[in-house]
Amino acid sequence: MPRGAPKARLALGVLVAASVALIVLDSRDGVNPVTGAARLAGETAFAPLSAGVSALSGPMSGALDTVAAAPGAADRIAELEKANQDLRAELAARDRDAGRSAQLGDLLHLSGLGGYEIVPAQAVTRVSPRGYADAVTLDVGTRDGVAEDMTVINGDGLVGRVVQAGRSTSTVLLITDGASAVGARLEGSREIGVADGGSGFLGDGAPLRFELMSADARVKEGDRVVTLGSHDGTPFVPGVPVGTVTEVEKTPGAITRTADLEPAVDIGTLDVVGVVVGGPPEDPRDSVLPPRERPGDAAEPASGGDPADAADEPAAEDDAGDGAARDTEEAEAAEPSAPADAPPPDGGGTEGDPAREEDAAAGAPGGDGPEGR
Amino acid sequence: MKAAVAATAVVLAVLVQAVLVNRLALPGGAAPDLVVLAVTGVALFTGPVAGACTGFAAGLALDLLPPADHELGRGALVLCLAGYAIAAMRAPEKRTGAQPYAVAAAATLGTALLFAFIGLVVGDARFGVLDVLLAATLTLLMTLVVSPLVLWPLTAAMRRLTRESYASFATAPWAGGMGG
Repeated sequence: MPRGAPKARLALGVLVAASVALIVLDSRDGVNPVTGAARLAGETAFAPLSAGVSALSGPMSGALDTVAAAPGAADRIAELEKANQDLRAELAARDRDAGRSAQLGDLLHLSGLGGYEIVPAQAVTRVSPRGYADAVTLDVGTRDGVAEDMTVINGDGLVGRVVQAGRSTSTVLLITDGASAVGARLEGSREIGVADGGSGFLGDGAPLRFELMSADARVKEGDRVVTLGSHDGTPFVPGVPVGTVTEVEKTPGAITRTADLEPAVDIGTLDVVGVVVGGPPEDPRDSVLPPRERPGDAAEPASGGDPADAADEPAAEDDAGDGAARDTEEAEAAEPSAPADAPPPDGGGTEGDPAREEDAAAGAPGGDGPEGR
Repeated sequence: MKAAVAATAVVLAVLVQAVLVNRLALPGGAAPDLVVLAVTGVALFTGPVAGACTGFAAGLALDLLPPADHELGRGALVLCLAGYAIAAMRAPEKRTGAQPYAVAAAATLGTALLFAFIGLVVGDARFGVLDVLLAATLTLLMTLVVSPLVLWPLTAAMRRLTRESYASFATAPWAGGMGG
């Protein structure tokens, strides 16, 4: 110690001793009068100062805290909002999930029966820019393997066909649209015809009209109609239920016979649909149709012979179907008819494949069984 | 005059530390130690006794003021030793340039570690060695950040006053001894 060392050391020793004494006193349990009084004095001096600073800096300090916590707070807010949104969505989805699941199950069932390879999709909007077209937008597009002129079905039957395929969305012209015409066939017979959409701008209320090619075709109420199918399954694969005859027009002398159809699909409540990206290897005929509700309805002697028919006549049927489909396409005229290139059999088709095999093994007889009764 | 400036600086530092700085919620739970800076600035220009007294007073004030989270006398002991050491080792070259900041950094680290060490000795079970090192590092960094705000005006004022007192008492053998 350079200067005044002894004195300084003495002072230091006194101070250190005092400090240590204070530490020892204060670290003992219980209230010590000396340290208690000292602390009380400190608090007395501190309280007003601190209160003053609080009063002055309260808003500033709060702002400082807020600013310091701002990045975290933003994250926290975002997190909470997201959680809130998720919970809302979950709550809203809970009711729909059961219905969606059932619809998807129906869809898979139907596509399995017919051997269709489908891409499941959801109808996201009901597009009607001018109020004329009956069309919906799906949330699948070319990246999912969807292309123009593919058949769209749901668990009940035919929905329509893809008229426009974007990258991630596609537009479906519904069968009820006035510009839609579907080559169709009466269940259990070879009577073919065209199912025209009836809900045009001046529609008379019947959503579908079925025009039979042959004037002497026998058609009656309750008959069901399935798609005829066209070349390469474009735009319609064969065997999809279209609707049920509700009324047969009695127009004696007319060249053709027409009937009103009730669509198999409830067009108003479309949700889960499937785009058929791969048609069945062979015409499923009537096997896709659900069993009759009234098995005692008789009038199905022909259906007993169906398996045989299906075995030896698909070629002829398909030819006829092709002609009809082409005719209807030309009649539409307004729409560009895409070349019938084979749709890529990928994307979502995984569910269709096993079902198809299953169907090939058991589907057709299973479908015919109830009808044969 | 010099004593008045030193006392004012220390009192201000203690008050700002206790009333303002300690209530800021800074990251890591640490806070810059203004009192060490003030004690350093004062002790660099005074003798050991004055340095020790300054440190003791400042530390005791900090101990007394809330929050009473440690024993009375712990801060006093630590800062007393710091003030004494700085003043005893002082040299004219330590008062200029970046030297005060280096001294302040050493003092900050030393006081933080010593404070924690006394706590360990006394039986303060609230922290372990890792906590101590982390807290000391954080305190050191924060103190260094704010050190110019305290040290620059304080050392400037003290230097001026010391020069004056050297001018008047340059010949006196005890000039530096009890200069505070």
